[in-house]
Amino acid sequence: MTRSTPDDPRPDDLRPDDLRPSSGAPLDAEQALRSLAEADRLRASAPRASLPSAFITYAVLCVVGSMTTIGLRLAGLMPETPGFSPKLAVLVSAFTWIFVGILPSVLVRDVWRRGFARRWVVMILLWSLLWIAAVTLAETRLALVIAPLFLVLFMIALTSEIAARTKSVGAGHARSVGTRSGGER
Amino acid sequence: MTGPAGEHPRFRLESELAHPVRFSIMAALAAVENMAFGDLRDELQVSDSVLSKQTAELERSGFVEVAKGFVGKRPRTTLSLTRDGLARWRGHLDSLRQITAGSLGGRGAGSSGG
Repeated sequence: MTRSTPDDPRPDDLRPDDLRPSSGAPLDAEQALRSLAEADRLRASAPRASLPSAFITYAVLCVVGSMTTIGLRLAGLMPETPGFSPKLAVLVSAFTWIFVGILPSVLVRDVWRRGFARRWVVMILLWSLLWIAAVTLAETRLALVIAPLFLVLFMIALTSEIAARTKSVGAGHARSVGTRSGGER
Repeated sequence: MTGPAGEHPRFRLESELAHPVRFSIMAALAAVENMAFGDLRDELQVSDSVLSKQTAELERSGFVEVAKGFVGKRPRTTLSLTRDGLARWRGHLDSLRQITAGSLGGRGAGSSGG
């Protein structure tokens, strides 16, 4: 990456400032096309990460959810022994991994594609609901239903993110083809 | 090539976005939730002062929000589009598309989304 220096042309010199409606200068289609192509290029290149690091966090959360559900179910079947609580061991282990799991999204600050934040909030809310259900119902037979639901939840998150990205990239490609064909008139 | 009101679409262009750097800032920010000042500067290959000046213009016009915070002890400035800024950016692109479509008879009219 290069940066401009004091010797670089001033931004006002980079391109004629004749897009202003008030200038009275006619805006030609070629200029409009160039602007649209520039917008497409920047839109496609800005988010560098294919999948944000938050997905690592989400994967960890879903794995922990699944394992905790099964762990609590098994702990419920174990006899209590003096000085050792199986349930407490499972929960301490789970919360430790939850803490460790959120570190990637805290330490690595990705550029998020527009729309990801909304999907992220929805998926975290769904995970929270499932987590509450898991901790509450883990000692019943429902644990065997809840545990794989964490895997389903992660697959939904992954699929929707890939679909959103594919749609965005596909639209960008279609636009660039359209722009090129327009420029070849 | 005229809009619903019969006026040329160039009259619906946002005059603030005529500047190439401001146009590029909007295009880059429209694709993401937000972006650090340094990342945007590298992306657009401009100097700190140019980006700072043009961002301030966009902030004054209500296109961009600037959030200042800290990562550890280091200051970090994050930029994002306002809701109104995103809507006006999309309107600006729509006007550009109409100009293109009108002049080229629909051939090559991009449909760039925000």
